[in-house]
Amino acid sequence: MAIAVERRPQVVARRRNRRRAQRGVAHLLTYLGLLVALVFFLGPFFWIVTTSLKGNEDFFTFPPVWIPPEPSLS
Amino acid sequence: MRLFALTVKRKRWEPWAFASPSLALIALVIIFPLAYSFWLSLNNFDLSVGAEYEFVGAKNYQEVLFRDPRFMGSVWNTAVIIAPSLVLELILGLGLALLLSRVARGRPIITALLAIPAMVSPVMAAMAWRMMFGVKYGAINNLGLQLGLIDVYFDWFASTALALMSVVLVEVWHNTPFMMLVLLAGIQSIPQELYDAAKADGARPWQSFWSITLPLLKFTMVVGVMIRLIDLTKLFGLIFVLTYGGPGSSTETVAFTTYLAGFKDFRMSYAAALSYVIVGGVLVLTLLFMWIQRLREARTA
Repeated sequence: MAIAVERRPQVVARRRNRRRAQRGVAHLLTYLGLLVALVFFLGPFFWIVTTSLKGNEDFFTFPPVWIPPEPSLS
Repeated sequence: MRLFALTVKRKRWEPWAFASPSLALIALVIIFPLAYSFWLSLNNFDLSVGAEYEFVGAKNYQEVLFRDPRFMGSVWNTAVIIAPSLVLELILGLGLALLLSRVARGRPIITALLAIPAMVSPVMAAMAWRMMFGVKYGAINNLGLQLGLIDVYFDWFASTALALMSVVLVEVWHNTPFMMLVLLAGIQSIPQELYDAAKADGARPWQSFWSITLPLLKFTMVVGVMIRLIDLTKLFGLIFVLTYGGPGSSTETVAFTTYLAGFKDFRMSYAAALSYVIVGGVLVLTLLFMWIQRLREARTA
């Protein structure tokens, strides 16, 4: 087996960079997909929690707010 | 010799004596209600008429199966809700499980966060979504308006199709995490060596997905779908809170129709007959599902 084809160091480095970049993109897409899923699955839960902290006034504010300006436990 | 005979005799009743407390409990809380509701379903017990009732045989069952368009409609509604929910839950759950299995760092925390909807009780989930679907103060309408996706305040339960879609959306939100967890467990039980071997043979990622992950995940998928299918036939809480069967009776599921027959019309016997018919239907459905699975396995093997 003669794999004596000398590759110039720049070519090797470029290939390695490209592969690394591809893996980076895949990673990024994975986390992006999970982020979208997290927003979808936790959004309503977030709404439950913040609404539970709203008083009547904040609850009937129009347009509704995500985070009550005066959170209260009563 | 006599002693031996005595011990044998004692051994025969002993296990029953030890098991008797739990047997009594099972008889009391499982067998008695089942038998009593079956007895009721053969009578014409109707609380709106009075406390007396008499034996009518299979009359209730005849009415359920042949003369109740509302029940037939609810069977159709249940099917219309189940089919897209199952498909979406399977696809989304599989996608999320695959994404999670690729994550190197922070997998436990992301899994736990994604699993939160499955921990919320159905009534609470439905309540939260009902508030978000609210016409004027709801998050969905206001967000949609601010983003320019819709241009009027929308009533998300106004028409049959919209109400069904909304119910399916909430159902998918609520139970996709369960599917994801089941499938993630399935994916993680696949040995890594198979992927290494495939990679050494020059397989592309989608090839190893198609010929390693999917075939080995099939059984897990069948189990997950079956659990969801059985659970979905009992869909009640979401409907009760979100739509109360409306508009009209267009989102009534079989469980909800049974509830209405029993606790709105007070036809106890009829409700009992309905529930027995539903149990029978689910049983047939499950057996059919398993039978198809068996056939397909036999064909591929």
